[in-house]
Amino acid sequence: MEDNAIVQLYFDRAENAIEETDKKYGRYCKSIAFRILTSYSDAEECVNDTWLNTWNAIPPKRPSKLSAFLGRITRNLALDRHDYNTAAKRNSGFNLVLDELAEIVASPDSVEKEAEAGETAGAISAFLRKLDEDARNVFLRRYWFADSVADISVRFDMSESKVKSMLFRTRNKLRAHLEQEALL
Amino acid sequence: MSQDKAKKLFRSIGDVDDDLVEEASQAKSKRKPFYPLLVKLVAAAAVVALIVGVGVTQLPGLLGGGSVTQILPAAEAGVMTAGGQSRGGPGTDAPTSNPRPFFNYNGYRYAFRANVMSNIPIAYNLTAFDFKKSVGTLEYDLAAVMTGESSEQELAGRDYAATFALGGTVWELPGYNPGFRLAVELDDIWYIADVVGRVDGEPLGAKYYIDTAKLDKQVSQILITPLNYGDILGTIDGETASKLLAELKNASPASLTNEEYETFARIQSQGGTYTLVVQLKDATSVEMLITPELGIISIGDDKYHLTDRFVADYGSLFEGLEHIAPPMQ
Repeated sequence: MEDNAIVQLYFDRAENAIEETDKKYGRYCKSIAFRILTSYSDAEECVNDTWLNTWNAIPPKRPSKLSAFLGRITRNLALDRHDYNTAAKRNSGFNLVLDELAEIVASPDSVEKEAEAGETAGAISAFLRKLDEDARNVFLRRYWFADSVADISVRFDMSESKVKSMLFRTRNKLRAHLEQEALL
Repeated sequence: MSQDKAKKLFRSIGDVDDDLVEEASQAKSKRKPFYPLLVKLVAAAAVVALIVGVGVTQLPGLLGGGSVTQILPAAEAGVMTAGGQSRGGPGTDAPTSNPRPFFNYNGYRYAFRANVMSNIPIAYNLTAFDFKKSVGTLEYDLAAVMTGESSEQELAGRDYAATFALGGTVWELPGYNPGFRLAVELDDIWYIADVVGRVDGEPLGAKYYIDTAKLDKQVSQILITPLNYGDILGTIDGETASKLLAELKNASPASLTNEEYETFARIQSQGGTYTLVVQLKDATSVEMLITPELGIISIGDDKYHLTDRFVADYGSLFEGLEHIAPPMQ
């Protein structure tokens, strides 16, 4: 089913809206949640919560890119659950992603500043648009989808060391960009 | 504190523009396109291509059915030993730094078919298969255990623990015994994995392996090559190969002492170990490493003693072969 038709089901408050969403995006959302939570049951629950959140959000929202909309909700819910889970136990895979990002924000020269989330996201979008396509997509696969380095290397037919060095360079560039924008 | 900031940054990245996210969600390598089905490629072409450096992987299903072929660039010519240990192909003497990609299922260890140079699993076009039965999801991160990032050692023996494709769905591959070969799907990319051993460390058993893979029924021929490829030193025709594999079922597990291991390593370093490339009718291959001088063969992750009858009937195949020492690694 086309995305527009699925969104319309939500506007019509049709009972099969969630079923159709699950059919088309269930695995996509589950894999995002799984990479953050590393637990199949947690990921399933997270995706069920995503459908509930989507039901509550549409209407009034009418997402233009349904996959990104659903993925973003899943991601945020998974991150919340990760916070809860990590109180008891570390999830090593996803913590690696966070450790890498911590390199960007942990600059000793950085000024403590509470930037608006939207402002930072806008600056990151602008930064990503300046990158070449491969570097941009590798960065997003790692830090949006939380893919493992091994999975990225297969997806883009690169060695793991090349993926790591590409991510390292992009993180450094992003830090410089955010500092320049006074967002760090 | 820095973790909190990192999470905040992670959330901010989550709010980047939708079109960038959509582009990344669909992004794949431009260098390694997924070719459409090529249904009439003959196995013989695959055999030749394998040796000359163009990898051709075809999976018509051992019991018949549609044929699925993916042609990969030469550098991707993936050849696995039956043990799944990736080793150097022609001109590939560089050891890989990537961990071996494998997972546990049903008490057995399955190795992903992977590139010999990089250990990067090979992606297959399996769209012609009518997958009916998924048998689970790769759930436990063994890579983290292996790198010391996780101390959950007990994961090593658990089903669905994996060093690769975490979150991937494991499927039975129509036409193949799931005890031999399974498929794994992650983000619409498909991989194939072959059994290499038992999780409890007990030997798989030569008979179990050969019967489960139907090697003696499905073999088209066997090539004898040096340990690290290069030349074809000999060819065993299909009928003889079938009989050889049938006899190989009687090989008994070998528990080598330290001294025997040292002897084994010495002979191997001097070129006394050969690769048996068992070419199957589906144009995939599995490999076994044979050291005739010691009467030992490696099948899967295990070593076995060749029977006296095997040595008597087939030992002459390995007499007078050139010893080509593998490159130093």
